[in-house]
Amino acid sequence: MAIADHAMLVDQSLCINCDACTMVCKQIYSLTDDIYRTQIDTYEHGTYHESIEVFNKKACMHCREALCVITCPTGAMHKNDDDLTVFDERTCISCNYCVANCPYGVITFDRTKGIMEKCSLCDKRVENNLEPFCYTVCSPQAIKYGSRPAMIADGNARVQMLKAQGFEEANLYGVDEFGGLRVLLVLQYTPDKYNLPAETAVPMGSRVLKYLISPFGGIAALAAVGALIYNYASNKKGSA
Amino acid sequence: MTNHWNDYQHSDVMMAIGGNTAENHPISMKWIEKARETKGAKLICVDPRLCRTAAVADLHVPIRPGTNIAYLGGLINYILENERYHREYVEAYTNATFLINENYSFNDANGLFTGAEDDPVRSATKYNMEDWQYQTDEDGNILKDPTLEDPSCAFNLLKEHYKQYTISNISKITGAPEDVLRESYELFSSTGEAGKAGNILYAMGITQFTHGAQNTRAIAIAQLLLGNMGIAGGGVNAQRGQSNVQGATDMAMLYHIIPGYNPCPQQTQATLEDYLATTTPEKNWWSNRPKYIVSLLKAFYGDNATPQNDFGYQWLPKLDGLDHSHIPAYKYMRDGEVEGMICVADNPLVGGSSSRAKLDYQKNLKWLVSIDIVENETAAFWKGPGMNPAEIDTEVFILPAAAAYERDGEKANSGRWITWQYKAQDPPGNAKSDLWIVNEMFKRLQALYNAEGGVVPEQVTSMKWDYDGPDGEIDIVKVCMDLNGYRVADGSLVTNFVGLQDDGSTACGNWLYSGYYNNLENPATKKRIPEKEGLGFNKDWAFAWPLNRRIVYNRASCDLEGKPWNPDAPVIWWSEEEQRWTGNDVPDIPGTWDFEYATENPFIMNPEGVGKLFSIGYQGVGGLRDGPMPCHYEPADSPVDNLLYPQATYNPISQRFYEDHTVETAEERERYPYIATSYRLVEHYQSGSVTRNMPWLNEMMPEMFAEISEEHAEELGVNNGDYIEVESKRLYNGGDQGSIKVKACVTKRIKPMMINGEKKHIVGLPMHWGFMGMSTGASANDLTPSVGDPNTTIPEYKAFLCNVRRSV
Repeated sequence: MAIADHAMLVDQSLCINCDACTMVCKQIYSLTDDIYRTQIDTYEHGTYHESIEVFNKKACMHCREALCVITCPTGAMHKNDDDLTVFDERTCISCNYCVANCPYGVITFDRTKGIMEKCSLCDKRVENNLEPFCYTVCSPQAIKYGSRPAMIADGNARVQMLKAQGFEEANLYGVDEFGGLRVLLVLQYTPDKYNLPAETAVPMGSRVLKYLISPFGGIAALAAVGALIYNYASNKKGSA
Repeated sequence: MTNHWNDYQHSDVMMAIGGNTAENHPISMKWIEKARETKGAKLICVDPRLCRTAAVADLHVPIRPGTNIAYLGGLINYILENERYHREYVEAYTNATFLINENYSFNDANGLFTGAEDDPVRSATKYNMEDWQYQTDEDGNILKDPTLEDPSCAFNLLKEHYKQYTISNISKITGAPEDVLRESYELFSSTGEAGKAGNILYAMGITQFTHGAQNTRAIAIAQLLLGNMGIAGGGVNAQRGQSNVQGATDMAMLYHIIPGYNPCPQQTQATLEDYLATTTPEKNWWSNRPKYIVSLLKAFYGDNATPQNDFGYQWLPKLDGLDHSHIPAYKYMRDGEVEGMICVADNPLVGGSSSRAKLDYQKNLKWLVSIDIVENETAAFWKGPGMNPAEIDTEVFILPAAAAYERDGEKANSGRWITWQYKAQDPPGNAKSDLWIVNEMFKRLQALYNAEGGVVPEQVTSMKWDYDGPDGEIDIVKVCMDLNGYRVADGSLVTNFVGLQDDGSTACGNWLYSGYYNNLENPATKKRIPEKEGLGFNKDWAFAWPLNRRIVYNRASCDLEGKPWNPDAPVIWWSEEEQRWTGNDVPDIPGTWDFEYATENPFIMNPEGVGKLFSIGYQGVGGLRDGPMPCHYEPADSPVDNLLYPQATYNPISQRFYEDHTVETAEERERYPYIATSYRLVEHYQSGSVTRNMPWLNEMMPEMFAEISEEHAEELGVNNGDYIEVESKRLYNGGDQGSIKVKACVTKRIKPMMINGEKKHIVGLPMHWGFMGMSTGASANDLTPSVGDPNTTIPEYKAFLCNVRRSV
């Protein structure tokens, strides 16, 4: 059985962008070409030699109040018993609402398989009391895994250490965002430098939409048509 | 490495210079981050680019490619000027107090030491090193001045030599801002305090220059001054770029040595006695050389090696005084002097310097054998760009080799840990392990020489070669036993190299490996017991040469009384109760030495017994060909004059084989105005023959590119992702300028540098691509010069000039 209320802590100040996490995930889950469940983004700021380069391990944050779950018309994107955001391909209608609404941009629609690819925090592994795969391969040990309160304590300690080292903007991201994230980030700089969203609460509109569409299968079908159109449009945009 | 990977956790300040450790040696970051987390250690990154190491470092010092000696010379000067050195250590454990011959001098105008003379063979300069010796009394004892006041003591010569390496001069040469230089010097020299540890870690960004060996020397001098050698968390740490390249060098893959870092015999050393007389010092560890050489010859020639025939010394190949390394080998090939080539796991047409020219030179081969897991560029040169297979007569054989995980064997990592690696699966098809291939090849050659004779057939026929197991296939354990060493009389394994003899009673293929396989049941190399608590030495995990010692020269980790400088990370110490050395590591002190002798000789490999601030060959050991102390020379392809030594440009002793591989005139500097450097990426590996055939890795890093700064891109009118043409003098052919076509990656990671008031642009080129495999692209090494370091002849891959044009 998994640790109750477990969480992952990604210390972005330790990440070296070696992509070991990206590769092990790609291998284990046999992901299609150009599709990733976790990936490291690089952002450059400032001007050399005052410039900085930051890395962000980009994967599903498993929001408590997950926009993908809220806006999914069929419940394909749902919360499991462990409160992880997981995906059920049997009920998915490929409407891509989850992709469009994810504030972190970490859900990808795999056209060849017809499914949504996203990090599941290795739900089957954690159920069996094992750690997520990316945790096991991280050589600078930037990924930590354990109970959420312990991870928050660890994260706060790291933030204090970074502040002492002169990183005044250091902060722990994810304690309250979207009802609290299961993946917490230690950041050296403000979240915007990592391209993290400024808005960190579920917009009222999405909640309303949820109550409007979810009871009505017919509307869900309508949504599917809308999704096709959206999908077509976003594909156009993607290839431009 | 003098230390090892886990040991980084004990450092207080780490300097990554000439190596992008976060990208190319990711595991190092585990220990670097541990040091930073647990003890607030600092990481300084010295690199032209804001590379990944620089991105995570506490301080980034951007220096122009090829100016490492200037930077490190500045550090040495800072340490000396501000008295940041570890005085007790310097006085006792280095040759600071040694008096140098009064005729020794250095000319600031032309950057030459005394003894410079013409070398007509190489059309370069060479040194007569007579005047670089120590002053001695009648009995040959070295004269010393413990007060460090004599102007000819090594310490004062060092001071004098580096006094013009001021921060303002260094800033002009390297392009690094003065305040950043000062901050980095201040921070790193803080480790000069007793009990503090500073670690300098480096890779090919230090060695691949026409002054590469001297770059390393400069690191060694700084570390000796700060008392950072022999201690936990200190050291001069060369991070190897390949999992077993340490093992390859140990086994003498280089032409100038024979196994165990013994010099290759020269033609002038006609007999074993001559060889040993010129290479064996009177005292300290290398005085054991005869034991290792005779045991090596016994391992080579078995019963054919007898005291009467010099143990077969005559059969060893002898050097003719010329260079036979990579660059000249291809030059000889160009001149038609090389008939055939066997290329084992090597891909010089991507990884070698000036690789486009090499494509043509290989046409002169009659045959080429490539032993590799894929058909790489070198094997497929006949279908390379611009080649016409109809005109090429070279017969190419490709022997499919087993990949690393398809064969048993040991690997030596950067920290000298010899670790056994078990086979995970059988190789596909007819692929065989390298060992199988070499065994079969040699057996058949020996049979041919036995049957037909030849020129000096004894070299091959007298070789003892019985590595076959009962099934007629190679038995790797027999090779391991050979390497470990055994007693000839009964074949029993020796415990370690202390048991080796010079009378022919023992045989050992590599004295450094002696002890790694000294029993058949549970050999040290196969041990896998991680330590539960301790300092990370993990003595029961694999075997570290020599003698399972994890930190070499560890006597220097203690003060003169034998107490550790740093009680929090003690390596070894003198136990008063037991009256012997003990500790967490194997003491680097021979059991026969008493306390006083060990204290006087902490650097046991040097006949002087101490670390060398002033480095000369003494009693046949050590010394570099291009001077006793490093001095700043420009790279062979340099955009500026030498600021410190006006009449000098690049290293006058360097190995030049082609006239057109150095930039000599102002016109050429104008033609190639930008400074280029080459490097590796985390997604690809060396010449890419393995990784460029892996779809996932190609997906992550799909194509060749060149990094240029935003300012540079604006000047050129290039956008991110546009194609550009990069040109260098190597592709200039009688007015016809060739180029490589790559994509431009416009980035903030690179910035033009102000070199002595002039703005110079930097171009960064990854070195992985070639014309074969799933992902193909231009080779950066088409552009690099074939000019070598005088000591190692390593080509200058890391600093050269180029021009960039927008591709039309």
